[in-house]
Amino acid sequence: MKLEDDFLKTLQSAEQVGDPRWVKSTCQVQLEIPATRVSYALRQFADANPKKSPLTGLEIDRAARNWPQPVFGATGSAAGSGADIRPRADRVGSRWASVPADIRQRALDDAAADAAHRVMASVKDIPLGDKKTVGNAFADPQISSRVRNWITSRPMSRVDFQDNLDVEIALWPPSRASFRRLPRDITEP
Amino acid sequence: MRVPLLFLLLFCMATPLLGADTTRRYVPQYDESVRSDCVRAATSNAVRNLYDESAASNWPTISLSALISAR
Repeated sequence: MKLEDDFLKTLQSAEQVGDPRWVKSTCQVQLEIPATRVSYALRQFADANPKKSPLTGLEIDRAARNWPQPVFGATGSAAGSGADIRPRADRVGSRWASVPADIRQRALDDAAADAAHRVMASVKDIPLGDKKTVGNAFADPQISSRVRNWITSRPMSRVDFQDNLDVEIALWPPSRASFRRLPRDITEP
Repeated sequence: MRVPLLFLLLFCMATPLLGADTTRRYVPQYDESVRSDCVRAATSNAVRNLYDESAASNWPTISLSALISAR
């Protein structure tokens, strides 16, 4: 796991190509990293762990020379509120293909609401002082509704339209800056 | 010249005159911090896709995932 983390750190140093692109509330980021930097990171691992590594540094060098492209590139996306999220084009044959857009959107909204419900349930026992807990604060319908809206407005970083017509989503956790804004966002009308 | 100016003045004052609520309300999709979180999420997904992309490259006898998960 350590090496995988290290390798991901190397990939995190990839250059962003241009600005993030926004398409109908979906953000797309394109990254590129020179193949030499990838092979260098792997060779370092192989050289530092000759007994553990299944390949020698030399073998990695040789393999890297056969890579057809000088850079590795990839695009990632995440969906903000109001994004039109559809099943991937290579899954058009799936059962989701016949599901109307409004039903699909409702399924995504329900999944986000379910995620918010779970998050709120997981923090309800946190004490707020004076023998009160977060759960007591959520008893106020106005506060719980605003917290729910706040959670469901997080960007969706993963959406999995499953063949059994379930949809699974992952909401991106808030940054410190967003989290600091939480009290203001839920108390302002 | 005076008539266009009068229209311009009326246009600028239309919102307060009609009593519209001019205070900013919290709308998540226009929230800068939500947008920057969205960029961060997209970047993280791009890194994950970059991992898959490099894992799919040519290796002599072993997959990249096997190499980097070697203990």
